[in-house]
Amino acid sequence: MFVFVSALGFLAARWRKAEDLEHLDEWGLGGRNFGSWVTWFLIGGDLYTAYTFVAVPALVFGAGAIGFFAVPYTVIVYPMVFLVLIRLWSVSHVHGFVTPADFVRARHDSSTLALLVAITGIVATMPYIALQLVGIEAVLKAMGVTGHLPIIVAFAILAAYTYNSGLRAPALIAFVKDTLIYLVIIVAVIVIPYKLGGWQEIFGAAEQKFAASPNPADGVLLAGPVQLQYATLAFGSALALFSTRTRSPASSPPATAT
Amino acid sequence: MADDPASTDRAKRSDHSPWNWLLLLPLIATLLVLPLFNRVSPDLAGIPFFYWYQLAAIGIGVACTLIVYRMTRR
Repeated sequence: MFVFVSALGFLAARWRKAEDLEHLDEWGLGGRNFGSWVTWFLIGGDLYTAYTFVAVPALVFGAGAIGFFAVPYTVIVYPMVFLVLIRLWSVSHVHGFVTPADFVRARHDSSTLALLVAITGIVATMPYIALQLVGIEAVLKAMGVTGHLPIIVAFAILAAYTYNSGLRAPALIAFVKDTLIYLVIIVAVIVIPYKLGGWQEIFGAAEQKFAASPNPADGVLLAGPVQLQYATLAFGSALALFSTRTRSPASSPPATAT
Repeated sequence: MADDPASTDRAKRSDHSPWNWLLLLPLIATLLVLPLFNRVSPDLAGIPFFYWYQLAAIGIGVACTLIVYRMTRR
């Protein structure tokens, strides 16, 4: 599977072949030509990831309802991004911008501001990537592979084919990733309740567990003060995502918000 | 580029549309009315209201975005 995906990454340069891959917008934005479905897979693969799969379920398991914030967070993030996206895309397309920093430089006529935006974008994405690597490490460990070397190798290959093919690489691989994720989720949602005796059983058991724990903030529902935390966590996450992710939609027409 | 991109945008349309207010609905439905759905009943196949309502809210978000998109495109 790993070999297959890596090969796919390197071959991605051939997909929707560009005249000149050396052009920055071919590399960085896939030629601005990704259609709706491709973008849907790309953004889906981008958004629903180690964080969604490992970190959030862990939170729900440990603390109950508050971990569910991830659902309202993703619900609100799309309308928010949509609002800004239309403008960002049409202007970027006309002027040939590749990154939000370009847009900022033109709009506010300040290279300093653009530089700050670029730096912030890079720095803000770093913890996110670190988290992805931790997620990979956890998965590998569960498979029995320990140590840092596998991570380094995996990351090196990722860097190599992204360097080579630009945005096309993650886009193509997103197809594979999303398919796998769909498969896992559908199976989990059907098989787990079946094996454990139904949703009633599962929530009942959870309720008992949380009732027995000393922490007043956990539970199958949100306790009083926790409600505000929940709402602000969802909203804050949406804002964070919004500021680090507005670059990827610049690669395709606005018909991508859903 | 010194000129404001807004002024060189040749399309007459403005991005301000009353439809954009509809984009607030998902926000309201998921966060502002939180105390209203923070409960177990009515449940769907054993799943408490809190959970399945928020999953259903995904549909609200999608519908709103879709409507705004359709109504505001040229």
